[in-house]
Amino acid sequence: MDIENGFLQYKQYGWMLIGTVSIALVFVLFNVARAKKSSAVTIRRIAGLDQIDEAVGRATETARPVLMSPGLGVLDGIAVQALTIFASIARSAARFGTPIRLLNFDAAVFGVAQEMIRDVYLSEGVPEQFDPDSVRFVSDRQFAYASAVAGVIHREKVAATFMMGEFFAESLIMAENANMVGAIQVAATTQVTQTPFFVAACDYVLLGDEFYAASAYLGRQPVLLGSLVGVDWAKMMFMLFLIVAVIWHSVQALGGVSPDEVAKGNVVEGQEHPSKDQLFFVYITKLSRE
Amino acid sequence: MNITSLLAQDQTPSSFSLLPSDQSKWLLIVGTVLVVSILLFLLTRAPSNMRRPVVVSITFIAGFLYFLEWVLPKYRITEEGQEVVRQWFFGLSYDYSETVPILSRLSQLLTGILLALGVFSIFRLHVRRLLKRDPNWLFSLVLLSSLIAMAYIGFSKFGMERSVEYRLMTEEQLKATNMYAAYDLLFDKGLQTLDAAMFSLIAFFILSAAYRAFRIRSIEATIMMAAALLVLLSFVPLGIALTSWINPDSVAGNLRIESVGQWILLKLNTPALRAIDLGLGLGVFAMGIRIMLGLERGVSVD
Amino acid sequence: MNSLLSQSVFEDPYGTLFGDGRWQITVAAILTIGLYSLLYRENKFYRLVEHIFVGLATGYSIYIIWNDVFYPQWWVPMVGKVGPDGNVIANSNWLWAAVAPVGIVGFFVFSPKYAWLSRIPLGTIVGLWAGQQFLAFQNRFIPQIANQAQPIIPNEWTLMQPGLPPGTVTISDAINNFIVVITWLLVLSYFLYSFEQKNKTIQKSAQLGRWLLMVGFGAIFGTTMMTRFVLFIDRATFLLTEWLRLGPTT
Repeated sequence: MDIENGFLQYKQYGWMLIGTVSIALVFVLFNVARAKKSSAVTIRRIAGLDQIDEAVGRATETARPVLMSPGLGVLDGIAVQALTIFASIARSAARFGTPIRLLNFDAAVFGVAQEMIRDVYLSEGVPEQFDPDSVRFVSDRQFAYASAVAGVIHREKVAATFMMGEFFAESLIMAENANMVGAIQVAATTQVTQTPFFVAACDYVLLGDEFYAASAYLGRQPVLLGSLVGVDWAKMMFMLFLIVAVIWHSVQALGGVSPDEVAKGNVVEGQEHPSKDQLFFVYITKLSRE
Repeated sequence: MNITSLLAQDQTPSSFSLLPSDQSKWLLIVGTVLVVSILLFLLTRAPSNMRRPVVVSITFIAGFLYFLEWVLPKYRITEEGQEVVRQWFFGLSYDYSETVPILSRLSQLLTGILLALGVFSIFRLHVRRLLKRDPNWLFSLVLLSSLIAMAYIGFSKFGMERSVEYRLMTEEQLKATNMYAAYDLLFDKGLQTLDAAMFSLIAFFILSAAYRAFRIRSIEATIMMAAALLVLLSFVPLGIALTSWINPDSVAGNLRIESVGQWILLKLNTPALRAIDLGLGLGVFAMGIRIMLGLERGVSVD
Repeated sequence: MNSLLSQSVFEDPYGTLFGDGRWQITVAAILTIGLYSLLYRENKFYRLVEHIFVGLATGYSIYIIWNDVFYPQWWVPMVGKVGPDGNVIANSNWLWAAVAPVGIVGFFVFSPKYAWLSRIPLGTIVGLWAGQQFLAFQNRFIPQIANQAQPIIPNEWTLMQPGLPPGTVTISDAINNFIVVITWLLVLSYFLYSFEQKNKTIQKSAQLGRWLLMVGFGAIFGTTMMTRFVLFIDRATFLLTEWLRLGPTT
């Protein structure tokens, strides 16, 4: 049987890749189950998140609206995460009677947002306060979206902005315009290349995956806490993985380079992969490039 | 028949893949729409405790299809291998990996249909403003008319591109048509110019953001802007000129501004961003698991 | 309007409604200036251009989603396609019709009573995304980590110099590799949430991680600044050279 040709993704060290990801998967599932059972699962304080309520509070004092933008993402986990945070912001807004503006880039995200925010007002007992036009689809073209958001920021003199999700070049247009009207700003983006601009322009920025920690932190739901701790375990696993790999490579490198490996193409000039034996990390990188 | 021929664009004629000339396709299309609609209608009658299981299982199955693609063995099929590989499990797994691209198309189509939700939202907002004679009603009128004009020209272009006359036209003749002129005005001179203009506005905003960051007297902001300045200088001739007196071949040559800039980019920027990216990647990963298991309130039903 | 558009297409291909004048460029320039007026403050001119922008963008999206998605990926596979000389380009896979009602159910978001039905298409979209994350994570991040694993002990006690054989780890390489590894570890340690960072060492390392992160952000800031100015220069050239015909013409 021609199985030589099969199981391509498990070949060589491919099983290690799948294995590592599976371990991370198990970490998350295990901790979710653990958190559901016991209340011992906790997370540390996250500074930026304490500011969300303050920002909504300030908007209430001025009676100007709170603006939320889930960024340019399509309907995926990032957008769902952003909307989950927005739902908790909308909850505070509904309690204080602060008007909201949730401006969407993607129509499917708009659909989910429309329903989620309506549910928030319903569960707060003020369904009549919900204005369907406060959750809007604006445009699904990047800069048309940015120009329209800038327009809303100026015309309605928003008191606070929450930009959370996937942002690209338009991040600065929106953040700087909000600065022009003196809004208090909390931002988080999954696009690392845009984080520096938010850091420069906004009052509080959730760095990196603090964005994902936010819903666990705000809601204290066991499931979310557990999943966050599972992710932590995976991070520590990868840290250990790197330390072991560095030591391994260092020891191997001490022995110099074998001409065989050079001939086989496992050692490429300009790339520092010296080894005497087969290096599984070299194989991993090679395999993934195929 | 296997699953590939069911939905994939398998061109072997079968009961699922009719010849275009076969007019019974219309009956089947209408029939499919009706059957699915009836099924969905029946769902509205379902008791409310059924809702969550229905939605959660649909989400789970959708995700599981890709999970399977990840773990099921993959093949590179050779001429001789064809027969062998098509045995039970392996054959199924091969067919499966051939069928998976359909899923991304499905997702695209569903997202596409939902665009109409957004268009509805726009019309609702602006027609309401028109009717109420909102102070900004004139702008709403402008928005709606440019929307309709652009869509109209777009669809006319679509129709024209599929006409017989279009195929016979030379490029010069094409450029002389009203259609071309209208599309050029609305798309090239309108939409694309506006895109470029808005994009270039960032140059001003980046300056004001930099100024703001320089004024914040925190350690973090100072570190960030110092690194920004160094890297910026390493790109511009003026910056490079500052340290051009250092001999590039000496050890001190490492202190030339372009070397420092490159070093920051490669040895500090790259690992720092990779670390933050790994955190984000794991966040997405965990999010995916939670969505598949129906643990995210946002997309499941309470 | 329809006849006007098609008229010249089919009967008078050389006469255009809009001529070949330069006024289109003037329109483009006015639109550009309209958007730029935002820098001063929000005004009626900006508002007009903004609404034109959003209108055109949405209109274009409607057209392009038919042209790029529905027509080639749904309509053609569903009803089949015959080429100009009668050859079959695509067969009719009529089962694609099932997608339409499932997608249309999404409109129930506006009805409080049946809103849950909209979760069927929305849940499918998100579910499909979720399933892709395993492979996506594996392909993107594990090679990244593996690539960072470079030797940190030199096997040749010299500084970096040209002409060394591949695989040589000089003192410079070792130091640089160490910095890369330690930066990655410190930054990642800042993003651990499961324990309070009470321990002094952990606090210090997380703080250092944050600072290193800021250096990384600064580097992005610097590089992006360059590209953004290039974009502005491009627009300035458009306004000055192409529209006002000032300066050197190309």
